[in-house]
Amino acid sequence: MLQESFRSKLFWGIVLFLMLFFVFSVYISFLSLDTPARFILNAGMAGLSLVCLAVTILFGLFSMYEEKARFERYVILNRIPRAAYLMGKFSGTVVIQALFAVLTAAGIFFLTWYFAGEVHYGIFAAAFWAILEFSLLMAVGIFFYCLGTSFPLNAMLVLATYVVGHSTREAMLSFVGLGQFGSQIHYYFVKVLCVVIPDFDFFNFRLALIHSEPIAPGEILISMGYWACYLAAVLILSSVILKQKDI
Amino acid sequence: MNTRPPVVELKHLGKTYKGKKKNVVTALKDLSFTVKQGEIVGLLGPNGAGKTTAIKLIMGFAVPDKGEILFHGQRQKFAEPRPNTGYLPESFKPNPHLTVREYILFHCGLSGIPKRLAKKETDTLLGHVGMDIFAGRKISDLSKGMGQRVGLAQAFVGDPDLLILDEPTSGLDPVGRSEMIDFLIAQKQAGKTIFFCSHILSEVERVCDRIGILVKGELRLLDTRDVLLEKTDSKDLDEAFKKEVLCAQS
Amino acid sequence: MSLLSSITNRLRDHRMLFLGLGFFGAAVCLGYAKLTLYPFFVRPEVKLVVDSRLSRTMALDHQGFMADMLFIQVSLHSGSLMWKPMYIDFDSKWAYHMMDVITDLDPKFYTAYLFSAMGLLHYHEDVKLAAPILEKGMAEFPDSWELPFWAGYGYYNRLMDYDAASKYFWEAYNKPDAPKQFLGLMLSAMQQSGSFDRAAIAMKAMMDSTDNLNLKTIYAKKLVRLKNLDILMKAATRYKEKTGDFPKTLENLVTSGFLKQIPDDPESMKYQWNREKNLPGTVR
Repeated sequence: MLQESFRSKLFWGIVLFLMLFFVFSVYISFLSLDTPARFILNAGMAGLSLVCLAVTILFGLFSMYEEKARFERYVILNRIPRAAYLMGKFSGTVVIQALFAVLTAAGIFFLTWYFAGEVHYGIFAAAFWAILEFSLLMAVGIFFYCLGTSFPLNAMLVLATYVVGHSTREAMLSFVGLGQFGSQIHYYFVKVLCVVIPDFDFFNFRLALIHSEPIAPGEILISMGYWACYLAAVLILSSVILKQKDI
Repeated sequence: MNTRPPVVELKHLGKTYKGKKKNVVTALKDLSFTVKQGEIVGLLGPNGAGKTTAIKLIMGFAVPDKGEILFHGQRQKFAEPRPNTGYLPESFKPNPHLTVREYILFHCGLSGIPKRLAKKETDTLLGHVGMDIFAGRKISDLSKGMGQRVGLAQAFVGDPDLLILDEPTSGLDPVGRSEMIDFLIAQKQAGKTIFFCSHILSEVERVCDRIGILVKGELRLLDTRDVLLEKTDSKDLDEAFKKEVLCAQS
Repeated sequence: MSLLSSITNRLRDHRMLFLGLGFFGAAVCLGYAKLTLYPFFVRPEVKLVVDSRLSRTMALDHQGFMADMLFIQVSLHSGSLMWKPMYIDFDSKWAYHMMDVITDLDPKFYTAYLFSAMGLLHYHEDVKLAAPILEKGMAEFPDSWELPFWAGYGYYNRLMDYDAASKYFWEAYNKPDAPKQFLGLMLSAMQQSGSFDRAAIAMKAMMDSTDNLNLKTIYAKKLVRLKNLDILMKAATRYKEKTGDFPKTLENLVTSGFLKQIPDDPESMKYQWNREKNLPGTVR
């Protein structure tokens, strides 16, 4: 998958987008009133998320649908089990996500050092967490793929999962009052939804990394455990669903 | 007497699809036939007869509502790769981002062929299909016929005994079609077993040992060309085919 | 002729291209004409009022980035007043609300707190809007001397609220690594607000921080004066607690037994009670 990615115009399009985002990061750092490092880092992390999201949808999911449209997945599934196919697509996409994440982190690291005179290794940690976050998102996309959704619908569902997954804490806070003073059913419904949909707040250590604050080892372990369990669950469920379906 | 089990055996296969508004479409009614070692069996049928569905069931891409599929006497499970089988689907397009060689190497990898043997296997296969001079070319730069040859080459990766081809000549020009048929005949002579679907009667007639006619999910006839013509009282396969289709429709 | 004919031929061959370029050129000219004939005028921009919770939700876990973008918005609004026409005013309420949201999104955004107290103060009353932001910052950065200092400075300089100013200066002074340069300011605020005991501490610190013997001597005298004023202030406070009001003169403190005698000033200045400020002071 890496080989075909390098030849894809989309790959270089995303690289170009990344370069432009670097320029944007440096540009806005000039408006920072003497704290350019944090502006470059914050913008860099936003760019990291955008790039990984683009890779997930435009590389990972799109290539699966392309194979489906070309009937190529039949010849592949003639050779390997369906679960292996899903794992292969998943792994290939994660490799590309990792490549872009490291590239972005290296770029932001360099820009922070060059323009702000500061060295921030935390950006590489941010890249690590972004890889975990978006690998989980890719697994969600694979799950919807196995359910037979079309590519546009799948892309929208993945985007929705991303947005909702980042808003679960706020949703919970918003509905606490509703539960306490109004309908308990609404509150518990939101609570269930927040638990079922992946909670990307587990991977949000951005502010801590920007401010070089230590992250408790317990918190890291819980986050990684959550990632491993949720990922395994989604991929296994996807394999089970795909195995039952006519393709 | 040949006591070896047939390469492929279908027993009372049936498949229905649920359409919109609770419509049920019967794709296959009660399909039973065998494909013996070393023979070429062709399945003819009009559009929507159920040919592709039959192939999907054989390959395990769809689950039959009833019946079973046996390969060399072994019952095949749904959704499992078929042993020693090469497959070329209808309207197949290989990955446009890879070169021809890379694509075959990729399939060698999927088939578990060690890397040190894969290159040799790739060169041999590409030579067989006449694509060796285009090995370094990107698949997106190939014509439809060339792409089809690449597809055929991937079907041969791992030297399978059985080839299942769905409309292998679709989209090819007359020269390409003729070359494809010649190729299939050569494979038969090499001892391969081939099962393919088509709606081009002349090709089927030329290459197949036995010909089946599938209409509306029902296998009307499956026999040699001569027996087919006799049973349908026809001068040629075209007439036989039309008679069976009309008979089924009435 | 051959050149002319070759040009004509080329034009004819690529006529659609030149037509397209021609239209583009016309559009550019029209755009320039519009800018010249109908120059745009600067209007007050529509300022979006955001809520912390909504901002955090919209940020999709990129609170730092969201805080930065909002910060740029505020700083541009503040800075752009240098070149915008007079009828566009600085919107203090909006700006400080935004700073509140920004510091909610990223509580460790130190520059935002500083900016609230320094760059964003356009009107005197803005000090009161800045104070809660700075209080928030002081909670997040308990060791920072700058935040309480700038809070105090705002009250001292803009509102002449020496009471509040001296409270903040005192807090700043007690932070680790607080520089001594603002001691003079602190001293002034404390004197003006009647916190002579703390002013005396500030004066002692100033005296200890200099190696200049002449300055040391001057500061020592001022220190004695401050201690005297503190004695007078404490006596006046006890007087007020007993009688319900501050004394009319310092002699009242002596006659009523709250003070043995009015202390001597080291520079022979006279002490008197200032009825307006309700503080003891000096006269020549």
